[in-house]
Amino acid sequence: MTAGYPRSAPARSRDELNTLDRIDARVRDLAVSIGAREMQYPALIAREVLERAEYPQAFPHLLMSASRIALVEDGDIGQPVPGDPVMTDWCLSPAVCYHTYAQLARRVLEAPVVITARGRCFRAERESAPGVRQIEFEMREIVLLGAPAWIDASAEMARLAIETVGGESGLSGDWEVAEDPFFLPAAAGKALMQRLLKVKLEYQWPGAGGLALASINRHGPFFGQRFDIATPDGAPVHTMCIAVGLDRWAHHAP
Amino acid sequence: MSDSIAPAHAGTREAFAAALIAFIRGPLFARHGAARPSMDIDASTPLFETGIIDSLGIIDLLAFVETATGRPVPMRRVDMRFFGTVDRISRAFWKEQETHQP
Repeated sequence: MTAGYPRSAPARSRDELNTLDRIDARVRDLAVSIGAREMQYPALIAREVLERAEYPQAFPHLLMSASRIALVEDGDIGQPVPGDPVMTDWCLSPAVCYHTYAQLARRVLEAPVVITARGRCFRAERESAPGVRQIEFEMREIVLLGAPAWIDASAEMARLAIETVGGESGLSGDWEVAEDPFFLPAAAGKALMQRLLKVKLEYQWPGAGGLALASINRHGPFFGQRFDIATPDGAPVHTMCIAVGLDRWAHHAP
Repeated sequence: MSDSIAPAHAGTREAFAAALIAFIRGPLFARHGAARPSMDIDASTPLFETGIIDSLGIIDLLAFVETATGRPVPMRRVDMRFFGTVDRISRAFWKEQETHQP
């Protein structure tokens, strides 16, 4: 990858982009094979959506606001206040799947729904390194919404599919139980519960010290409740997302 | 952790299990309002599927086990096989030689 500029994420040449596109296409094909509809979502996301998902409470240290540095009042441009940006109603998307929950909010799903999208994501990481941890990165996500039994069956299928792509890409890895980087210690219990209930599995590549290349995240009815998405019997839909970190795959693929 | 939820020092696994059930029914329920005081709990009651233990309660549950056994719980053992019920917790973590006496 072309390192050095910009620092948030590596700039890519056409050849490097081809590598990333090839891996993405393979994952996208997998998604389509299980009935996924493709979407494209914006880089910005409404702060209200993330608040409904409780993201700012769980990950305040990662969330980046799309702020402005001055207000316009009475036709005059206010004076920028260094270090005191004016919050707006917009954030930079920290993940793709939140767009899907907002898109399907207040709906009854007559049948399971699978959505896939590739998007740019932003997280305020304290340290960054190309292909390992970036402020700005691309993810392909597959978001599944349906009844619990269908989610369970889909999770197993997803594991096998990711393993297949990993093998084909020369990045064979292992599945490990993991937890999200919650803002600790306030959310220490959430991290423990994730580990205990095995709701987050990471496909880790030993070639880079167990770097997570993909993850399967089971949310139970959480987002169904938060976004009022229901199954025909009125129960909150269960959700799961499969997230593939495209930069990591492209950076480490032989 | 407050004194009110300090674990009893159990000399047998059965006593450990009884102390843990009493801890869940009493201090843990009182501490975390989401718990269900009217719920009947025994050694085989699923603790997580029923919502008896949530993301707040698990911190105190781990603290109880660690204090009662005198050893930290390794992350690799934070697993439903070892934490799903009081019986599983007792079998996984109580050992006679590790039991602390006051």
